[in-house]
Amino acid sequence: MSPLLQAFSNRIGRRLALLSVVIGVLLVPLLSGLVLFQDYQNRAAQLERHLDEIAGASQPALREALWLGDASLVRTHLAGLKSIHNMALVQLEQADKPTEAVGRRPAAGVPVFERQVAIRRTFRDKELTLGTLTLVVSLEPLRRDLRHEAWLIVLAQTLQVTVVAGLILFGFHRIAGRRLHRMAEYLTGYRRGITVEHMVSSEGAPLCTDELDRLACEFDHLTERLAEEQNLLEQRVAQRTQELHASESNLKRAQAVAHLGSWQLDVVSNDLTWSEETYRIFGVADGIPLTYTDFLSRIYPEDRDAVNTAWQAALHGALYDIAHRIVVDGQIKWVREQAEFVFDNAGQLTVGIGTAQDITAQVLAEQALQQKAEELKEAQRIAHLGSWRLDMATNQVVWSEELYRILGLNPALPPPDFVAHQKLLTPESWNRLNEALPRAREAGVPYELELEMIRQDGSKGWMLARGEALRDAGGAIVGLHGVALDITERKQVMQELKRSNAELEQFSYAISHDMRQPLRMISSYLQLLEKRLAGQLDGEKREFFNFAIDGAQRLDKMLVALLEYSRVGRKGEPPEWVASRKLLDEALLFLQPAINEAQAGLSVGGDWPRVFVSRDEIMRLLQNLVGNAVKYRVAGRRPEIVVTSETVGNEWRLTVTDNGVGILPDQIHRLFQMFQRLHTRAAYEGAGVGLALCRKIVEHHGGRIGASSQGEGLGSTFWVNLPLQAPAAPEMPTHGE
Amino acid sequence: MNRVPSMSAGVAVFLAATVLATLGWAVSSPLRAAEAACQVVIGSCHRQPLSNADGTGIIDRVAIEAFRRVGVTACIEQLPCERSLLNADAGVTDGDILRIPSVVTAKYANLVVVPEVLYALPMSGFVSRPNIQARGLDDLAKQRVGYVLGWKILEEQVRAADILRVRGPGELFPLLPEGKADIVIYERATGLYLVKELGLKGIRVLDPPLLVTPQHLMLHRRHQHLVEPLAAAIRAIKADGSYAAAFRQAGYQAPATK
Repeated sequence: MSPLLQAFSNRIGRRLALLSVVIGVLLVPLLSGLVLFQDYQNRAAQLERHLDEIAGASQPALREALWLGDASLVRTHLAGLKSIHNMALVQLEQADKPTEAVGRRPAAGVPVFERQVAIRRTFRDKELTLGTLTLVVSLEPLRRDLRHEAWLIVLAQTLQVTVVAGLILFGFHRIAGRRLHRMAEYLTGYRRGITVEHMVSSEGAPLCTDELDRLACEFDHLTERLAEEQNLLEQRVAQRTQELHASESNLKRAQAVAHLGSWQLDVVSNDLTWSEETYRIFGVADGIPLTYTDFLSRIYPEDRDAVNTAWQAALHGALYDIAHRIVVDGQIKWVREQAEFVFDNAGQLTVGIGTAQDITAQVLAEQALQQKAEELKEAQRIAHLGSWRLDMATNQVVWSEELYRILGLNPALPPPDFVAHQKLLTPESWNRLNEALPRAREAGVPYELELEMIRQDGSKGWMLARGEALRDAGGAIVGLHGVALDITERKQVMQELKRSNAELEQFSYAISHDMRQPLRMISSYLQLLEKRLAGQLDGEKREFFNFAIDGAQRLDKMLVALLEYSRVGRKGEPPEWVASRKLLDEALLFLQPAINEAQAGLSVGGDWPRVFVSRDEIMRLLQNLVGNAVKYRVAGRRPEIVVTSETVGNEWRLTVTDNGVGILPDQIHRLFQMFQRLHTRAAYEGAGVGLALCRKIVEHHGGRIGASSQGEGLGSTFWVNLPLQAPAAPEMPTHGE
Repeated sequence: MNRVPSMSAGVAVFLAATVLATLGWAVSSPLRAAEAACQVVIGSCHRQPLSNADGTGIIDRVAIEAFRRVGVTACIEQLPCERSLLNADAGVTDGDILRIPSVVTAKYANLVVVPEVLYALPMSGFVSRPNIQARGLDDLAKQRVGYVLGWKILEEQVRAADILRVRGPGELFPLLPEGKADIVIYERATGLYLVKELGLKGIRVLDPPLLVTPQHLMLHRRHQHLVEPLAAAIRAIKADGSYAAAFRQAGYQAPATK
């Protein structure tokens, strides 16, 4: 493409050229017109001044010619005046003489300057008018000249404008167009992502020498800066995107964990937008377009009207915080919804934004809790078990209804204060409670007291009061709570039972003690009779005698065992603080012959505390457990017995483990029953009372006993848990007697 | 029609001063008194010695005397020739001296002619070379002739080998010593006066004159009643010898009056 065509292809250049042409076309005629008009004015004014000068200057000569009366000279003067440029008419009027005129008056409409000058001369003190000179100058030649000039100017300016436009076009192309084009190509490439090193070449002319080069340099700097900023921005966008994704993921996870979804309802378009969790809560596939109607269709039918009413009320300013049911896959779920509203500048409601939380578990839990509470309440009612709770920070006491009922008080009234409790108990009970409560409140010592209460109607009864401290996460005591069991009936039954037991024990003792005498007589006389008839008895009869004698002896043993059993808790030593290890050593002393005979290995370990027990009963317990371990050994296997002791909480735990015959698991429940034997008498002699006796001793001390075994032949473990502390209060008068 | 050749103002003043110096009587008190109280003003475009600005020229004195004899005090006003007629015709002045009636009355209707010739004006040839002779216009055919522009009668009647027209008498007479003209034509008394004033030597006047034109006094028509008395007074002045005496006193030959 030739340079001219390249220049012409430059649009800015064309516009500049066109602009110059337009300016030329508009301004040049205007300015030329102004100049010509001004020139016309000046020349006309000059012509007029010239006319005045001519009129003045011509007077002396013309006056002289007129004075001389030289008509030829006058005409010569007139012709001379007429010969002046633009002079159309020179006319001289003289009295009594024809008018001398040179030239013609221009036609009407032609602008003229006209001057009339009287030619005067003083003669003998008189002013003589020699004639009147009229000079008429036509402006038409001047206008004609100006028109010619205008045409010449127009032609010249047209040529000039054309040349200037061409020069501008070409010059702009040479100076700016090419570089602008190159910059545009560079920027286009930059926009399309085509990386170019720099807009300004590092070769050739010095950089940044003129405005365009500076612009290009600034573009380069800017693009470099933009590239850096873009990189940073991309990094930040990537980071923010990652954070956003993480945040969205966390939000989704949080919504999923909290079962809390979000939604947005465009009130104008009725478009409903749900979060992923909301879709999940409502059991709708994610992404399905929704409307408010779709939402309503998923509400449990009985709740639908209520929800719609609440929503309509919310649209008019009411609080939208409701819980309702929805149906998801045939299952009923509970949803709690809350919403806020967005208004436009005109105050019109546009968008509702809210949350939907799946509270099914919570509702079910509340329902279950409510049910539990009802059940508890009913259980308390049935069991006559009341409960209470004291918040030490607020000194506020909460009673269960049953507690009110137990004490014959009105549940609608607040619980009585601590001082008022005094009226609810007998003085003796109040004193004991008043001793236990400070220990529980200050030291966290639990208590269990049987208190005699005085009901509102004045009747008396018994309650079993248990209380313990409430602690915070740091272990500090923040309150007390406890239960009160109406044991009035039980107390009465227990008293009756104890009385009956006493009678039974007395009866058993009497039976076992009194029945042994005749039994010994039967046994003795049978033995005597066998001796007397020793020669007369054949084998079968002797065997019959042996059976009878053996039966009598076994019955005697059973009576002895029964007698021992009945004596537990009744004839034993009173409890006292003793060293448990010492008790073990004393028990082993008695068992030493059997141990030696069985060549049993015995190891004792653990921590042996001081315990508050009946000394002889616990020694009997240890003898029975260790003795059983020696006795029920596997033939041919050296017994290995391990006795351990430890303190677990407030209990002393005693364990006796052996490698003996073991116990079938389904037989363990029979171990501690009277006269129950898991082995034949022939294999292991015994009355079947030992473990029953152990159980009774343990229970007499308020403890528990149990056994475990991996199976027959695999050894067994017997354990005993006894309260480690002494009873806080003296036994009830009826207790343990 | 003959016309009095015009003179420059400087020359006229010079001539007037000379005349006044030589003609002491002309500057007499009666003349001054008369001028001081002019009843009529008569224009004149003639020069010394015939007329001057003081009105003491030969013809001036004759005319003033004529008016005096009719009881009117007249003054002479030097004016250009045509202006003098125009003023007289317009009534600005009261008349004009030494005019050819046929020429004047045809053009200026307000002027009337005093029928008595006031001066028979001789147009004489002046030469510098002695062998040049001419007794009439017909003798000029082979000569180089010069005269002053504006003399229409000369324009019409002079036929010569070469005619030189100049703007004034100051340019006319030098033609002779310069050899540019053989004969120059001018009024006899005035010519002689100019040759003397110009200091030209060797120039002589040819007699008789080549052409004589009778010149009359012209009056504005409002002075119609003075025409005949003035004509009578002029005749009387001629008749009593005053006319010739005026020429003689000025040093010039009096023309024939009959």
